Amino acid sequence: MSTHKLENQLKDQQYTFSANFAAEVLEGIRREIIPILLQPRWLFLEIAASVVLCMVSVYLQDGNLSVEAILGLSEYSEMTDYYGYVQL
Amino acid sequence: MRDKISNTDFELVNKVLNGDDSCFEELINRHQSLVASVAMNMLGDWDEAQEIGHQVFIRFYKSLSKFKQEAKVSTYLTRISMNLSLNTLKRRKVYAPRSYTLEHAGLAYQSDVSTDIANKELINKGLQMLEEKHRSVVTLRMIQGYDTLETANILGIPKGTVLSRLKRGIDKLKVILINDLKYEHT
Repeated sequence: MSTHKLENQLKDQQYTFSANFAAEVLEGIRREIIPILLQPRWLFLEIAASVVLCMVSVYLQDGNLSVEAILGLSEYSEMTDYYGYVQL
Repeated sequence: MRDKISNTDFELVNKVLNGDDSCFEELINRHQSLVASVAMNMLGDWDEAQEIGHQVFIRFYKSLSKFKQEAKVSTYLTRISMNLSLNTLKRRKVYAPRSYTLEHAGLAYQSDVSTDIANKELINKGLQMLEEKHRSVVTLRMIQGYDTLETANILGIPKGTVLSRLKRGIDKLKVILINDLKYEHT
């Protein structure tokens, strides 16, 4: 086998990926570039988990989940406002 | 679409940087064959070559803002492909050493596929039996068609080393193909 023949054969050692290669790469980029925690399904779970955590926190603090407790008004009474007004 | 085809690589890179991701698809289509050839000739394994292909373009996308438009896009992609292929070969040595048996190569030669494809497979097997340092030079210089200086720059070795490795690589490949793989080129 001559070197010239081998060189010609080597020039033919070309390969090509499949037709949908570009689409696969772009999908891979989307997956890697968009942080996992910002992907829609994770975002929904994160919001749901935050709401549950807030509810648990309110329940532990006030012992119930009433609207007043959620709004932070369970300790509020009109007399508190009144005493504040008298002191002024 | 015609607009994208008429753009140079650098123009496409700038468009991607300005938010037009569709131009990146054109860059992939233009250079995917180059990346496939480097990876396949270095690794001899289609699945690994495809994985390298994905990684090359993802890395290129991530580093677009840092890409200095001094080197050609093709040369830049070749360098990434070669580095990732060499890393894969290193990992292979550590985790899953492979050997290309002559029986396996013989089977490929006697398969029903056309002679051209069988020859291509056989030469690829011959390449895999070369040392990495010789294979990388033969791949860049003889298959990808880079000149000696470009090959030296991509591999980070002196020009003289490229020339000596090329000579040694071609001589060894001839011996492997004729003596070990019983290659007959008509």
